[in-house]
Amino acid sequence: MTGLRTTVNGLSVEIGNVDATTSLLDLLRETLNLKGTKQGCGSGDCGACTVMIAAADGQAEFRTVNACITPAGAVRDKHVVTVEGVADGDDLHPVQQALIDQHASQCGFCTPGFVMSLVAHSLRTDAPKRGAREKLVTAISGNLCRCTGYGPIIAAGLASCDAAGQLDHLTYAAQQPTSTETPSQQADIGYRIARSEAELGQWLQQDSAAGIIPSQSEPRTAAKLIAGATDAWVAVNQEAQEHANIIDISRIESLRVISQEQQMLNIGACVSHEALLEFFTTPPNRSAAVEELLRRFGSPQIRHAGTIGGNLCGGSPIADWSPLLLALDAWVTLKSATAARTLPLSEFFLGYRQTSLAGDEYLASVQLDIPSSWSNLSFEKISKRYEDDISSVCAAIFLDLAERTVRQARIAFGGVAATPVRVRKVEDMLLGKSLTDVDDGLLTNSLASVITPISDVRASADYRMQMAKTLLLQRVQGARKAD
Amino acid sequence: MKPHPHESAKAHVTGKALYVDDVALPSDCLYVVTGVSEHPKARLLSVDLQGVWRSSGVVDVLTAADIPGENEVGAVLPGDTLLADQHVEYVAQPIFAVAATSLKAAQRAVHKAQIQYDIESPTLSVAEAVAAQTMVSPTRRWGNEKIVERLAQAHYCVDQELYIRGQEHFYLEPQASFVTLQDDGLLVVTSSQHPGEVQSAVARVLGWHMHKVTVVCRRMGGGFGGKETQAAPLACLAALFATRRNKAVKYRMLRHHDMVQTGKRHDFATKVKLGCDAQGLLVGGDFEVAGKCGYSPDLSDGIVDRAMFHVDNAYFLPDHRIVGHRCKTNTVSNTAFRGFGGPQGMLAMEAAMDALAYEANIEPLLLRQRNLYRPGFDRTPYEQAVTQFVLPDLIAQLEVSSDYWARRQQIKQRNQENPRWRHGISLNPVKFGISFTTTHLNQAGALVHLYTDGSVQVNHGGTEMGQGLFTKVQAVVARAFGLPMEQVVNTATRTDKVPNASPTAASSGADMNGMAAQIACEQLKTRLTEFAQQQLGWQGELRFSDGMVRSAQEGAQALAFADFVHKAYLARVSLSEKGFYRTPNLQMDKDTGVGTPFYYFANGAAVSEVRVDTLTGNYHVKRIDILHDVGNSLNPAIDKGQIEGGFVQGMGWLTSEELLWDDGGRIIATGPANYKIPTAHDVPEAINIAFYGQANAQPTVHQSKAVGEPPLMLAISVWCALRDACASLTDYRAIPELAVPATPEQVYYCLQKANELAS
Repeated sequence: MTGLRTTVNGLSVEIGNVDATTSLLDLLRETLNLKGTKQGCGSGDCGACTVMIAAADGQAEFRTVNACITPAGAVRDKHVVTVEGVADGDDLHPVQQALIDQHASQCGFCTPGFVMSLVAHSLRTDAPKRGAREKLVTAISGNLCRCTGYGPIIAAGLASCDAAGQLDHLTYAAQQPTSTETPSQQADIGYRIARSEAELGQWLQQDSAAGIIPSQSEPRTAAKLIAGATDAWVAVNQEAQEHANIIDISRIESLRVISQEQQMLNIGACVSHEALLEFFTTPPNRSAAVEELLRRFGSPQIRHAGTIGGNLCGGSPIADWSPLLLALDAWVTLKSATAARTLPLSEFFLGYRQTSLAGDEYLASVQLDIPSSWSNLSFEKISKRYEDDISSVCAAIFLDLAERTVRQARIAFGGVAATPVRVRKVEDMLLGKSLTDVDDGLLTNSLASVITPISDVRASADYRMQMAKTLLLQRVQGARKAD
Repeated sequence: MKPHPHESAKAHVTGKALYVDDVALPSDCLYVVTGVSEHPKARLLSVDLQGVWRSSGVVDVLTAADIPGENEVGAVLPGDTLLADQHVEYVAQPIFAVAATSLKAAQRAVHKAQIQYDIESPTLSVAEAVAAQTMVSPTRRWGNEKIVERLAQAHYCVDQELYIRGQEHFYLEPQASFVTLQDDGLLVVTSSQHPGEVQSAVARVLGWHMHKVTVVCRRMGGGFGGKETQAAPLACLAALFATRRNKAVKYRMLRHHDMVQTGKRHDFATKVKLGCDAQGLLVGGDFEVAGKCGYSPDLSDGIVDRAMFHVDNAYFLPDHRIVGHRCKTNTVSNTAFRGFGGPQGMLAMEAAMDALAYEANIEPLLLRQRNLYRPGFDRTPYEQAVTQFVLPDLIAQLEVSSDYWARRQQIKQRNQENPRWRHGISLNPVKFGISFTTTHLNQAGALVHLYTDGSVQVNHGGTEMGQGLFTKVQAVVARAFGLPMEQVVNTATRTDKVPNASPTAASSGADMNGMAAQIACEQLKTRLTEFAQQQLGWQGELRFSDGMVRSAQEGAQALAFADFVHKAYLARVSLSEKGFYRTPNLQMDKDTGVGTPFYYFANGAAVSEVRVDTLTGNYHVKRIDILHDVGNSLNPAIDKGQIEGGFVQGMGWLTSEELLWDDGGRIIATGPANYKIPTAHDVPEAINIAFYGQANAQPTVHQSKAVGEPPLMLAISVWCALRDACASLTDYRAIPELAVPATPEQVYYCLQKANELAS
């Protein structure tokens, strides 16, 4: 990739030549010699490489991301703030001073990441009470510390976040876009940022015509589409995976919107988890189930970068969005340069990490009917650790009762089969019945007959089975009681 | 002494603290990745590296045959190879190493090797190793057969087996070394708790004398024992490439390589038979602990010893037998980890004490209190007498401050009323022996320089891994000369400043290096006193305080420290001194299991309360109360940090951190995505930490006590509290088995067992 323009800590920089698979972390550390940001894991799990990113025009708020799994190309024309940038000369940021005062660093390797997460938290204006301990703990849930036990870090956050400075020393630069001209994307080799679906379609068609994309049945080997790259870049780091042709679709405006037409929601594939958290915690679409899913989904850093489309396209059986959307009977729109098709999400997952996306297609959006009551939807997750962990099992259950009779039942699980699954056999046992007439034993037997959990690093097959049954019964019994 | 901030705190928060990975590199620097075994046990039939050599960016490739010196990096006993030769003995054992012009080039190259294996049948578990008697070093047996009869006659007796899983260190900074050529020698910048061992290992593989190798460590991004021996192979490979290619070489492990290639805390299979009389007084214990050492000795001999030393925990045992196996398995060689076997020995005992309490129908805390070491009941199994009886009073204080008994009563009552959410509570003591049980390691050196402007440098053999050692030693020196902290700098650990230093381990860092620094200061002060008396005509002793030097005499003369030092310089007085310290009165016969392995004991106790969802096994720790014995604290802020951080690390080991292997001997917890150390959410807001506040009776530096390891074991109270919550399902009539770690899944199974016991 050539001529990467960006702003780092208020200073505009232009880098002549960067490999397309360079991470933001390597760009900062190796190219720009900013060694304060650390690499702890290379997979976006420890937060030692946390930095803040905002649009270069200063419009958007700063959001934390993991620099290790952020492509360098993704910060073109953005403003990156690192630990070196938060102090104003010799004047430490209040967060930094509080960390010193509270003895919140021991080995210090995780500290720059915590500084960034705490500064970003202190800059948020939307939180009703920034100083609340719970919010603070959430803000640092993507940062691991192995030395302190977190107590002093939380104390430092509480002591500083309401009084924290606004990074005024960076404002001037942030208000000056580094470049007014649109960079010549086409000339770039390796990493291209698509600005519109038309452009994306055109590139996919060109690549396809050039024979780069072999056939519909084979996985996409040449043009690697990325949005948040939170999954793709893990492989780039760990396997030194090479991509000669990366297309970044995260800035296509039409893929970044949530729109509502009558009772239908249309969610663009590149809407971030954080944007969805905001959407689903705001009336009229406040959903406790979606909130439960998203509060425990990755970390703030992952939620800022990762997208709903990326979560689905991975095709993972333990992607939390999939069961929830299955329980909402969602469908997806897949597009290529010349065509678009819509199919139920349940038909999207073909096998373990296999989806029905063809080589020249991309996932454009997810559609769902807004339920009559969001409270009919529940989401429960079982994992080894409460925060920032992948589900062993998760259950999304939509139950609509009218006059003691089950009118709608849609039940989906993650972590119990090679794909996320709807358990229609179980649903059929509930539909049209009064819950008091439903035999719990028969219900769980039926569930056991249609799911095939396995043993792996997260849980045993037996525990997964027991938990799937438990989560189902918990919901049914709860509804029975409420009825 | 004062809660001075960590000497690097400002550098930490501004990103200016440099670690090995941050060293500025020359543009032609080489990067290292190793090619590793895919099988746990096999003979290497052929290793074809042509594809590796041809891979883009590759500059050099090394195998065992290319090592000019010894292919050996063992710290104590031989058997730890740098690169596999003929045989591989665990999955991910390095077979060859690649140096390339970039990390990614090296990463890509290692996959291009063609290796043919003659696969052999591996030993993957402790049980298999015990059955086949494959050991990395001989089994030790202490005590005698008499115990069998004693237990047979005991009024109450329990027979407990507990398999205790290991733990990944997960230091935030992965292993790293950087090597450059310097004149005829090498400069190794390492992240190691034992630079002296790195020096000796590098010299050994190169076939050089140690004097040509200088090793430096300014700071580590966490160590926890994981960088005691495990840092050396990286330095060795980098040094080999550096000397072969005349280039600077960096070897920094990727996290997912570090997770599978470096040693961890040992799994232990433990068996405890424990008996007491009708009053709940222990009659003795019969213990068997078997450590999963992995393929090589590394430090396992001492680790299993320390497990054996700590099966008594805090309790007097009239009779005992303790057997310790060092099991050789075809897995990565396990190594030091905070507590060094002590936590596993202690946990086995604490689990058995709970079982015995249920058997004898005594409140677990009362059984514990009744059996604490006390006057007249003071002999440990290894015949060292306990002389400071801290725990009876410490626990009595904690009972009150944590409101233990009232809460226990409330919890029992609440559990009866609420079938789904069950609370559990447990108070557990910790007594931990301080000193290296390998006696010769209990020595330390320090170097103190006074400069003509009155500023001071101190250097010692200890390393800074975040535990605050440099800050503590800095304070010892500042206090010795009556200077503000800022006037003293503790410089990076270097093998050319203090030679032959022991590892910074066994919680001994401040005890030994602080004492060595203090001795150097006292020697300098003696010399300065002579100078003042002879050359300045001052009378009597000197007083160093508030940045001034005064004679003790009435109407005393006084000079600012800087002026005084400058005068001494002009008078040609040496302003530099080394101090040397050896911990006194230690001796141990490990074959008979009798001796004085420890200088003193550090003590503490914790109360943990948990809340368990009986439907799923999910739980949360609600409250923690800790009272810990640090002697006179050298730095209350740092000591509190060690207690809190050690506790949470121990809690992770016993709860969410599940170090799993598959049936083929592969570690399947390969990174933070599937190995879960605690996050901020897992630590309760209610965590109350206090010091016991009694000076160490031994003449340690300022009567302080070691604090690095002991607090980790306080987290045993979390595991016991989870088990207590599960036992509530039996109406406290029986105690179900609980696995280690107690993940939500394992708590769920414990709840099922409790239900079976109840019915």
